[in-house]
Amino acid sequence: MDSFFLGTCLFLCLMILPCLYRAIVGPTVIDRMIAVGAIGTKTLVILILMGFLYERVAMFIDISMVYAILNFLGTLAAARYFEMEGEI
Amino acid sequence: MDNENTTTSNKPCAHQTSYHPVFSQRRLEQARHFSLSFILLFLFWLLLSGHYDIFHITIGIFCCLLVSYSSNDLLFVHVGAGDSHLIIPRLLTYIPWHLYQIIISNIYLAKLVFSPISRLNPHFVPYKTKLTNGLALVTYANSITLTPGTITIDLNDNTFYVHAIDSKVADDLLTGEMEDRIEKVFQPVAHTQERASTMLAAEADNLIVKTIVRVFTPFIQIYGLYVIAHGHYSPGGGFQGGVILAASIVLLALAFGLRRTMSKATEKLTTMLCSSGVFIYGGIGLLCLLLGGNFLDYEKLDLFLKVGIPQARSLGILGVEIGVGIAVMACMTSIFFDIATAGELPDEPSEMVIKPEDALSEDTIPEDTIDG
Repeated sequence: MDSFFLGTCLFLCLMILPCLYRAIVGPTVIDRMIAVGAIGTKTLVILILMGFLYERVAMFIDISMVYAILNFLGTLAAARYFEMEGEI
Repeated sequence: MDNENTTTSNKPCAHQTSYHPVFSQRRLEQARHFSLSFILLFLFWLLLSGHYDIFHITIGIFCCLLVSYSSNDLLFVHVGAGDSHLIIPRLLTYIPWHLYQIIISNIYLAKLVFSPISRLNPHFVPYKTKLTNGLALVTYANSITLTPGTITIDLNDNTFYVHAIDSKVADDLLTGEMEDRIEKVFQPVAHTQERASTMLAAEADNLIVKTIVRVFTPFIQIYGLYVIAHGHYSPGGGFQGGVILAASIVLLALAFGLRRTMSKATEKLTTMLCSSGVFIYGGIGLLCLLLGGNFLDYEKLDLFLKVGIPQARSLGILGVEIGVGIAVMACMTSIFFDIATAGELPDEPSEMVIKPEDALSEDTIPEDTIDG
């Protein structure tokens, strides 16, 4: 089972690369925002899988929840910033 | 600190209307909302905590009381009195059906992706809805987004603008089955016409964001308090918990506007909390010093706590964490306010003005959790 989790982790890490490409190259700001959001979601899943690998799921779920909150907050702040054209 | 918060609470028309019949009804509704949010938050706390001894449950009850006091008007606003307890069981019957829908459309979408001939036909569908309740609208918008193939782009004047990847998923949406089911969930809380219109006027813009933030903020605050209180078992502690608490206030500011948030979490309050947090931290440290140990030498606290050295250590660490948490929360909040305002407040938009008699029924942003 461990190797399955490890494999999924590695696959997700590889899948982050296209998102990273879009986040760096992305022609518009919206592309970058969505790419960063997608990376955040993948990181969340990787964190929980790591929890299974280290057999400390409870601890890693705590971490990933904070990550989810901050991801949501970051996306919202960026959206708000561009909607209001620089003012929050 | 907590007593002070209770007495200086925000009840603008408390003494003027104390014998008015509307007032007692409002009080009743407030009490109902308070107890309901307390129960929900406490269940969430039990789920998180995992330590079911008296000490931790007491901390949990204290934290839940604090958060449900400060944000009872966030969780259960605009819900008709007497019907709100029906929503949750009805929602529980809706969720399995929705999960089933998600699985079905996932399989359909996977077929679409892997089929050799591309049959994609992405387009926008405007969809006029019959739902009026804010919570129902938000649930519907999120259900559409969660179902693969369709994404809610905008909600404007009871019209959803939905992006559909294929004409079949668009047709599925237009049959309106999901809408009927959601209407059934929220049907008993349909507002009177007057109340619904005031709600829509107050929250017309960013209804989805506002509702989501309103519902999630108390849970985020409970989570922050949990991280502070369990700092010595699990990752986190004062710093991290404080930052999470500050994040909940920043969320409120992003969704409801800086001015409304700052009218509750004033500069005076954040400065006060900031220094009292440092005071708690330094006070415990100096107390250890006075009792003949080193700075933050928790063992010496046992001289007057009389609970045994390991327990005294644990309590000392908890006290320090609480101090650090308060200080970090207040500092982060005031840093955010300082940077976001750049020294001056933006002008208040006219629709934000709330008449004083509506002040209790409208959602008011709570004072930020004065945690302990």
